[in-house]
Amino acid sequence: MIPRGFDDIQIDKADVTKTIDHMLEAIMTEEKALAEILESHACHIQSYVEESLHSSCLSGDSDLYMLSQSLKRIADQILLKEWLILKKVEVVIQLKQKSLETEGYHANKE
Amino acid sequence: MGAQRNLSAVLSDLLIAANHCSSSIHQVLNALQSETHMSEVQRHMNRKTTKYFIEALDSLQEIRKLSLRKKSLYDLDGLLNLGNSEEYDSLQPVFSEFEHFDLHYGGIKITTPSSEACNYEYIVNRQLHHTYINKSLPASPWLSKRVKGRKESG
Repeated sequence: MIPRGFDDIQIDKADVTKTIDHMLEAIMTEEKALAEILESHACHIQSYVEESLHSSCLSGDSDLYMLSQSLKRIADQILLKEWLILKKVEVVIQLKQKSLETEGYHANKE
Repeated sequence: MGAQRNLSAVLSDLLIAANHCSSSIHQVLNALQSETHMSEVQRHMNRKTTKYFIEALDSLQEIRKLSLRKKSLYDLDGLLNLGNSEEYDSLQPVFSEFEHFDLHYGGIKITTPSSEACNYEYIVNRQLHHTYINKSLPASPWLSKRVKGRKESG
């Protein structure tokens, strides 16, 4: 049996609104977490530089090397997450459109 | 709508954090460059460290672009749903972000929600940006009707 397409499915408006809200909440939590990770890394680097500039030179510092490596890794991971979240955002907007279309269709019918 | 506004604010926080991170990296890179007396081992280590930091900067730039794109999508979606003049005015800074994207991507595709039983797809490019900023009539009759209505009511 061929599965039905998205267009054929009857959507309950309350369910769609709830789903959109849940998705927005989830996206928001993810974005908040990512912002906090980035912010903490920024603070870490800044405090490291300030401390090192007062005590010794930065050149050839193995801790700084480790820090650069870990920051690069984190930034790459956040970039991937951000891309996935963008796809979620597109789905939310699509879902919203679909719900408005259904609403308009029912209003016209009445 | 509440969640949407909050999300927009969270995305701004992320942009600020990414900027903070970038400026911290620039600080390190400047400090590394200013050091002149180095042994060969230190020089080698510096090259590797600098390489990682520059790669992180590239990723941060991409993160900023994606965040701006999401923020623009949200804000535009909210504006067209509400048809609210307050929201419309608050979008002015968002369009300057489009301008920013325009420079990098040559335009973003924006899918507007249907509010009048029709679907419209817009390519937000430099031309459309100017149409909005100069408040001249947009190309779409549907959108021009909405903008006209807002001007009259305002």
